[in-house]
Amino acid sequence: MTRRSMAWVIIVLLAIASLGVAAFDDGVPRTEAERTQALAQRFACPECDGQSVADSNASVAANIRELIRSEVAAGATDDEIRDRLLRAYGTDVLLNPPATGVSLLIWVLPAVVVVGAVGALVSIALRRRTHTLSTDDDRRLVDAALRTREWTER
Amino acid sequence: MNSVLGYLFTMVGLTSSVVGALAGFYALRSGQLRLLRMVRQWSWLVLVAGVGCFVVMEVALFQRDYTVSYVQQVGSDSTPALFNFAALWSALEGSLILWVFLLGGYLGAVLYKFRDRGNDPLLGWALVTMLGVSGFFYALLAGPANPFVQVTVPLGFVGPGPNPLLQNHLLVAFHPPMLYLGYVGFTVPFAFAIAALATGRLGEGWLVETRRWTVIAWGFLTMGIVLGAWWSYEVLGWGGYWAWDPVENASLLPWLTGTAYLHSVMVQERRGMLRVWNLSLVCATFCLTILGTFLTRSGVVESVHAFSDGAIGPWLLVFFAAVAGLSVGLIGWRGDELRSPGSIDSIRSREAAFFANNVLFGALAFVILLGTVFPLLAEAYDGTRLTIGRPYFDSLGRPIAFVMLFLMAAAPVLPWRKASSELLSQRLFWPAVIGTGSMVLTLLLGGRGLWAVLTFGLGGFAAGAAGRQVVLATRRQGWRGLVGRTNGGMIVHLGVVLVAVAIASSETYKTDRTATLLPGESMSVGDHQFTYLELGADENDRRSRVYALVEIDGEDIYAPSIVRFRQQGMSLATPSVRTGLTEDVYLVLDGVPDENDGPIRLRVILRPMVSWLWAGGILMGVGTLLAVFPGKRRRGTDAVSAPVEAEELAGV
Amino acid sequence: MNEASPTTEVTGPRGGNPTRKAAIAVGIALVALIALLAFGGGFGATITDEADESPLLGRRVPAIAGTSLQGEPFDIDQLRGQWTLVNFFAAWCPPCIAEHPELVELEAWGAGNGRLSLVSIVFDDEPANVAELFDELGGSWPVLNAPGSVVDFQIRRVPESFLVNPDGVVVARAISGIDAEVIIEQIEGAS
Repeated sequence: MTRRSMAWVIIVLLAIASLGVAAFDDGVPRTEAERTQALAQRFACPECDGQSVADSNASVAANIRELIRSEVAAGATDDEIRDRLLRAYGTDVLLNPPATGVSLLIWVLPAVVVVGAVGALVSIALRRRTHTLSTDDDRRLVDAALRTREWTER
Repeated sequence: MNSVLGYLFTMVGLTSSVVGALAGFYALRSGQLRLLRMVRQWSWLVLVAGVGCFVVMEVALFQRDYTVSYVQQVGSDSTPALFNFAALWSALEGSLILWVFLLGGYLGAVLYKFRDRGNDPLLGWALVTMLGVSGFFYALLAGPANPFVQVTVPLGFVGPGPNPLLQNHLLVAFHPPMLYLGYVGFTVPFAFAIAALATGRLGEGWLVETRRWTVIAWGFLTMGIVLGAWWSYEVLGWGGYWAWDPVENASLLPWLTGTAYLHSVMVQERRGMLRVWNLSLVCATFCLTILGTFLTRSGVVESVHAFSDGAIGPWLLVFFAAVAGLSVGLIGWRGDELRSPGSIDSIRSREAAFFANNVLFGALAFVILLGTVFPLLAEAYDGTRLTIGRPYFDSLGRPIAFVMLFLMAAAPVLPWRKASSELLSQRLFWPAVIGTGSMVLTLLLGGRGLWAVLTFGLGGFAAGAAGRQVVLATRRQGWRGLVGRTNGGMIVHLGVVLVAVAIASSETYKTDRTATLLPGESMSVGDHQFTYLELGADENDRRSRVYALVEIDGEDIYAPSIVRFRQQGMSLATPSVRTGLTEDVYLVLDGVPDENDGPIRLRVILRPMVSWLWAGGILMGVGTLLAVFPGKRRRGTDAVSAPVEAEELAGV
Repeated sequence: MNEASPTTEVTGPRGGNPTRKAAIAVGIALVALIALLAFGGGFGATITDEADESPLLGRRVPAIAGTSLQGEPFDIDQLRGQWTLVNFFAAWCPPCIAEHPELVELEAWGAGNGRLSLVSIVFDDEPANVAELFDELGGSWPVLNAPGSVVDFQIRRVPESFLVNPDGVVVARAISGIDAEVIIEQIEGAS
């Protein structure tokens, strides 16, 4: 093992360890205030065109923040709070569209596009690998593609 | 007088655009290339008309000539000079004037740059395309969005002035023109792409000719977007700089496809591949600027920037359909000649990294477009009303952004065609050390959170790779190692890293507190102590202002305020921001008391490293400038099949 | 002029060209997008008049209740059976001051025949300034300080007024000032 590959092993291990430490301390909000804040970021202020309840200065947003805070204090689950707001304000209070009905498309389409694009790239790369630059026509095409000056003043 | 003169210039612009485009079209179709000289003269006239419209409107604004309909709409006796100047682009009609003015400027620049190629069909088709675009915008100005209509002035009229949000901060003088310089600038590469398709000269010529134009337009768009975020942060008072609002998304879409193009174009130059893709990206970028303008100007999507000027919506949609249809049709028509027989030899090659980069940029653009228009689809389908906001864009955008950061580290050190493991291990070593080092440092400083730490790690990795390139190039070439496309590009990369780091830390480590305070009372947020001293007020003809004096940590006094714009009947909570290298303190006055000694509601937001975002934006602008100025030799039209070789090799 | 076209039919028949196929697919997607934009967002009914934009029109009026600045209790639900004009204003805004005489005229008209009552809601202003305005220009209808209502009615700028019919439904909206004649005509036209 060379010194450089030893160093690489150390770097990779350190990186993984750092991410582990970072993730360990991450995630689930612990205090009620943190939970309220996290929930408020998931809902749209009904009258501010897409700003979240957490960000908006509008008083309706303040009211919803207060509602979330009291529900959290009363021990309601995230889903209960979500359902309550849904009943009161309709589906457009959710900043993250639900994964049901038509809204499912908004999650499925990006996945389809990414998978499709990666798949197409891989297949092109693999297919082309077998016969690189074979025909004269292809060579002519490359030459044309790389030719810059195709026009001169007459 | 101004009204008549303005309308006259509009008609001159419209006529010369249309006549010039038609004459050019005829000349090119019939092969009478001598007639192309005439197109140049019509084009110069379009520039004159654009300057004329702009100057007349500014003069009318400054003369407070309320007989001009647009001045009656946005002018006011009491608007200060700077905002009165900027009032030109504070509403729809005026922003169209800015559009034709800038388009005329780009047209003039193209004419000057290619002045010795009067009867080149490629240039001819490009001019015809640009004239067609300008004809459309002049038609809007002449018809549905005419700012120069002569109107009667009601007795004692003093004018409403521009939208208060647009007369509240210095940045309104810079953000819209920058953004428009970007939008309009993409017309040039688009015109040359269409010309290449029309003439069948699909070689590298058009790419080389428009490379620098694209970089310039991209740089302006970048600065426009960053300044817009800054404006939003300083003016809107919600403590953020990006809301995933449709207007913001509309500006990001062409930026994404434009960025993808700047990378993929190198693959074509070096390997002759991706020819259809490059043409498509150039056309898509231009189409997206039009689509964005449509989305934000027609009122079909809800937005805080809602302008809802319904009258021009259908026009823009028709124009978008025409432009997109033309692009797709031409590319399909030339399909046979656009085959690119080259191929990727190895996944560990620069072209493979650029391929991946393009897939990611495309995917991100698709996600953002989908998220922006999807509420329309859902409502059309079964009446569901949806809001698609930050959590959606975050959850899909974040993974894409991480892979992009990783590629930003890998691509600059990868050679073309194929790299050996030994080479990678050697070149990526120091970047990896820097990346891991920044993660460890973050943890030692007490920062937590997987996403933030990962961003810092990948950011360090990418910055290391970019820095390595710059260091090697400058060591070899001195100051020339900083200019040219590759080296300038690396500076841009460093700017992107700053932006990514700023976003991650300011989003993750944000503290947001609101409290009710009586005069003399204090609150502590984070490490800071905030004392509310007293309420103050001032007023003039234009606005009145109530502000709270708040002392931070017993040293600096800041004054978040509520500003009431009288004529418009609007009141805005204007934040007061203490900007710092490591942390911003953002104060918003949420509510004022009925009496002077009553309690105020004060919102305090602490956001670390926000200023890095602006610094990153500026660095991206500087990098773009460096990329535009060539290190040495060569005008863009010289025959070179491997134009970046010199800089490339410097990095080896 | 077609110097650079390296045309040779390597790819066989035209239909077999992948670029053309892709172009057709993209074209279809574009047509769908444009159709959606043209017809999807209620675009056919493009908004040209800003005043017709409020989503409140045709809906039940949001609750307005509280104690007026004059110290009386107020509840808009008590006013069912007659027309109500809900007005948002501020004393610092010249257009609001300009429309005030129209409101005074409407109050007199409504008091005379019992068909219309008024309520004004303060938009970001101090009670002292409001009292001064009413002292100077007249008017004695209830004035409320109700920030919640400002949000409920989605007020971004003043003056702005809503006309509520006897069934409690919002039927009209006026921005940047009202004309008493127009309101009276509307009430008389509806009955």
